[in-house]
Amino acid sequence: MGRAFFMIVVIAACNSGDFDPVSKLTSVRVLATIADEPFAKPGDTVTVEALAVDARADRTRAMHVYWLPWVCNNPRADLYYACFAQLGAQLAHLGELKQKGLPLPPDTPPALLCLGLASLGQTKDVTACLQEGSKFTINVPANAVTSHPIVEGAAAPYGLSIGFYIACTGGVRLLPVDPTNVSGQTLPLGCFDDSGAQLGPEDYVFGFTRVYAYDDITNNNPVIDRVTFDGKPIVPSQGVIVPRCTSKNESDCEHVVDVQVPDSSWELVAGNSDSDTATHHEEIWAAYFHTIDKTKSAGRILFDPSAGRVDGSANRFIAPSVAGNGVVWIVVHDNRDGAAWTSFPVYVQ
Amino acid sequence: MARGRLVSALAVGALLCARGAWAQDSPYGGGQGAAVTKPKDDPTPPAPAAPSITLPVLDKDDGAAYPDSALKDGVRETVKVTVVVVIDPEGNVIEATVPTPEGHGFDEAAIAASKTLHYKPATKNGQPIRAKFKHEYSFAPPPGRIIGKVAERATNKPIASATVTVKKDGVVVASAQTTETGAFAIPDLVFGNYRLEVSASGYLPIGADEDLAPGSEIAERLRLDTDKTTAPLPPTSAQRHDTPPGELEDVVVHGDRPPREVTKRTLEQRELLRIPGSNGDALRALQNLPGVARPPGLAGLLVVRGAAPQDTLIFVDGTPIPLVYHFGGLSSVIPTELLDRIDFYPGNFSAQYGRALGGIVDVAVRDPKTDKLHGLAQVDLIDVRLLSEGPIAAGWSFSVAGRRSWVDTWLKPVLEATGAGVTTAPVYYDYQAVLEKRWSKDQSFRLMFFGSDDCLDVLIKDSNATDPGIAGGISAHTGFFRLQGLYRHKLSPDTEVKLNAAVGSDFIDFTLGDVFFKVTTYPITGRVELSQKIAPGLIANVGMDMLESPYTVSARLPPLPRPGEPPAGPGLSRPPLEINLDSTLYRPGLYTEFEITPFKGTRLVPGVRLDYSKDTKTFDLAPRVVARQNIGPTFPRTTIKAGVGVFYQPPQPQETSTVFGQQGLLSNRALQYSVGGEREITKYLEISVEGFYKQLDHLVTPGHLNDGRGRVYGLETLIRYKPDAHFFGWIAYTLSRSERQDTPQDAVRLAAFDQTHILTILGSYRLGRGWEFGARFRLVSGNLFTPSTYGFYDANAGTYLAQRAYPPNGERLPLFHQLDLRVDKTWKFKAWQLGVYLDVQNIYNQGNVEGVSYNYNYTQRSYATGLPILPSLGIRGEF
Repeated sequence: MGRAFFMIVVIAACNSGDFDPVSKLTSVRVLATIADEPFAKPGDTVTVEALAVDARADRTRAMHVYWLPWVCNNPRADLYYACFAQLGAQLAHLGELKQKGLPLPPDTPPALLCLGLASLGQTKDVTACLQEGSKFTINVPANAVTSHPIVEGAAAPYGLSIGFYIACTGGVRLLPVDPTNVSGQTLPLGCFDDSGAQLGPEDYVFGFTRVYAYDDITNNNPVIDRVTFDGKPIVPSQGVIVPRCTSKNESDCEHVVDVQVPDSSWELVAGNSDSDTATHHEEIWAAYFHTIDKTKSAGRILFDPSAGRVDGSANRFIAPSVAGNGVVWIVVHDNRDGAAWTSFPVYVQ
Repeated sequence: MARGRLVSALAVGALLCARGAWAQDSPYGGGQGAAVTKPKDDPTPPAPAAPSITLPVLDKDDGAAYPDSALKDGVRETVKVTVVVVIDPEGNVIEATVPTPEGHGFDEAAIAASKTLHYKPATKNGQPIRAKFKHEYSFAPPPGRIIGKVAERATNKPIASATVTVKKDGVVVASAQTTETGAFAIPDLVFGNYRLEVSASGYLPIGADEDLAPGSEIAERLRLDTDKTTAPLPPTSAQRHDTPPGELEDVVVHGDRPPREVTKRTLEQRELLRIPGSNGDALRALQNLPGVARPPGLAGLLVVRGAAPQDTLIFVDGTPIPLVYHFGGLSSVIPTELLDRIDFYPGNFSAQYGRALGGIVDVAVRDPKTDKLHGLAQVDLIDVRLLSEGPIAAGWSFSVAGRRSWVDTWLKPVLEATGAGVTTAPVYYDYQAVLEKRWSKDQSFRLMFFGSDDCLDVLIKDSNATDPGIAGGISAHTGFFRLQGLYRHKLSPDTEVKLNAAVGSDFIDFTLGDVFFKVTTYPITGRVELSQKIAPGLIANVGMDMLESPYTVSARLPPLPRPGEPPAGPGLSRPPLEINLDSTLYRPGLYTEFEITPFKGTRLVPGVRLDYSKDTKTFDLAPRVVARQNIGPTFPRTTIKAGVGVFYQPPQPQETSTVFGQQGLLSNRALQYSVGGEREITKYLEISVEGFYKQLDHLVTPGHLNDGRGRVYGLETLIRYKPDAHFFGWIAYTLSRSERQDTPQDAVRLAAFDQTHILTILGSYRLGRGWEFGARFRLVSGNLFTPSTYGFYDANAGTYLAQRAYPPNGERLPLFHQLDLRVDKTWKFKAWQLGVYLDVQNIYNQGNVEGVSYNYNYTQRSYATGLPILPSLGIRGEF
């Protein structure tokens, strides 16, 4: 009995915690990015859009999304944080050239030069050096695949381009590099208010988005056919109206939310078979976010790589006990960087 | 106990000549010119030597006790102590001194004895006077005795009327007949070396050499093999298991040589079954020994002297097995009921073992019983086990056993009721079948088929906030089986051959969402060892072992970060790597070792081992030496010991894979040093202390070949009370530190399994009437973890990635402490017995911290606690 209960306890511990779920939005958040080509070809131009949400109660300072005017290509071991050393070296070089009055490389973006000068301490606030907006363009180099070290065991040769952004409610500044951190995993940008105080996680998200490039392998973003609420399709512009919860039992206030993704989105993963010659497809899941309480699960599996469509993958929306309005976002991901999203308002009466 | 003897005294006159000043100073007369006659032992009045003086006459002498300290010091000579005594006019000794001390407690014993002497006083002119003279005690080493019992090996039945003969230098000095209970006693034996020979009608005679220390007692349990010309059943080694509870004795097992290792710890049957908190599981009991860390949470791992779990090898009678525990360490893969003993070597092990940097665990399966058919059934809330054994035909015996978990049948509703995200439980089973042929005690053959299987299939419908790939279908299936043959033949008193061969299969089939890992291996293992006594005090062991293992691998996994390096993101953030491979692992080894006893009590074991690894195409030469030196007499024994050696461990197969590993690797290497001592306090109580230092280099680091290095050092202390009729227990304390440096450019960090303090106190006491009560208390440093803070957002996966502190493992969880209790009750009936046990873990419900939980973006953290108070109830019947 002891061993069994031990197992229960550990399982429960893995799933428990008094923390707010990832689905509950109360701060600046980025929910996803969508690339028009999840898998690009060398030389392609890929447009990436970020879904950023400002769910703070006090929005006196507006949230903005800024992109670093620079794309990191094929960092060491595909590590996103290995880009920072690459960026730092490039900025320092540009700044030094500018300082000494030496000619700059002909294709140097002005925004990058702006950051280079900032890296020399000439300016603190680099907001002006960044590209503002939810969309960003990544030009995948023509040699993206050939310049990437060969990875033994990969399904096909590939290249990697990474774009960085920060959703921030203030000004953006370069952060000093921590010389003691040999791993290199340090934040390069910080978010500051007008008084120069660094803002915390409620006010900013620093993130990145990857675009893998293949010569032959492609991937499409999953498709959201529709969202149903208690079995009825939702018109996203109209949303849903639900009564507030007056029962002490949450299950009395549950509403079934389901996102419909067609089988055609469940793409076969090329070359992916095991010794039993079983083939594997993509994994597809739906992540839920809400500004008004609450969903029973933060994410539900829609398609398992080998089992296919998962029965009973619908989520539950639990109405709050007080009236109010909110928004529910649903982001559908596949495990090959494909994504799609939708949202609808919820009116609790 | 020895008695001192009064052998002489000096005449007062002579005394006066020698010590005239004293006589003049005497306030009791005997002044100048006085004459005193020599005192006598007999009461006959002395003849007057002078008209007015008579000598004192000894009339009371209780003798002197032989001092205990002389026994402990191993004094074997007759020692004489002269005491100068002063008697008053009443004949009482009023002063006693030893002018020439002899030490070892003799002086104190002589003085104490002399103060109890009484004399008829010396007289002068008829008046009693004070007198001073010398009195000598002679301390001869006291005799010892040999006692014991004689029983039949196969059945453990006492043998009456057996003749026990004691010879010294080939001459019979004493003999005795055993009683109805098989008991014998031979008292009053002068210390020295004896040859003990036992013979009985219908049995093969046996003999044993003993070194009897002064005043000591040797207790023997001698088991005779039946003479196969008169009895059909051959003997077995199941005697320890056959010993009924309550009759365990200190058994002197003849034929066991001192260990070849610096430290060899052996757990006996009763300890294996009764250690609280281990549910009677032998291999879990190992975790209470010095040098073994407490594994985190449900991890069924053996962490020995700060080494990674895969650095410690597990053998079953010399055959390596891949798994020790079923899922989550719920129970081990070999049931305790089948074990004879577990030998555990935490380091500096013999050259017969190779390919490991950590420790060695060698599990010995006991021989089947041969007296009649036996059976056992046990059930608790986790599993059900059955066992049957007995004789088949002349010289043949068998045992079969099996176990299956049944937690899956009742845990599912419990999990659903608790709202756990996982609503299924693992299923496991294991099985064993033994067939043994024993021609004589010197020749036997055993065939054993055994295996284990663990299976878990679950579908998780909720995606994981930190790694969405950890969801969907999860399937894990692991197992192994072996067909093993063991042959042992003692060709002559000086030559022994042991053969061990096994074939089987290991398999791992793991699928998690989009990734999978399927490995099947077909290991063929073998070992041959020849032991040859070359000369008195010199034994050579030569052997070879071999592992040839064809395998197939099919895997699709994300690339793994190297140690200390934060990952690139969740598992799906990088293109997975795939491999489909058929290959063969081939690792032969040769070793030789000499057991040298140049002097009594001194033992040197130099050895060398040569290993070859086909996958790395390297030879590893590993010289080792162990020294043990007994100090003092046979009992209580004090031993100092030390060892130094080189140890290699080839890279794991995945580390040399063209996809997941690196090419051009060498074996990991450790230089191990240890020094320590062992001391017997009583027949049951002993203390051992050992310091160790392991210098690690050539450690495989992903992406950096063999650039890793490290060191482990510490001190292990064990105070152990060996099982007697009522009690066993021990206090084990380990102080250690385990460090690693992944590359020369990286900071030195603590190894993942480093635990500074590990204290285990346990004991079990038989209360009588079938009741036994035990307790275990553990106090252990918390496990390490790497703190994480708010960092980055991976928009593709939709997860936050923490900033991880550098270097890794920089913070430690709070101290772990826990008390476990166990109560056993056994009812004995005429033909069978029934046992019930209650094993309660964490009796005071301490919320020990097993890990750290973070919220989704690493801005908050809390401790995850483990085991609450947990009772475990089991019932067991056997005949």
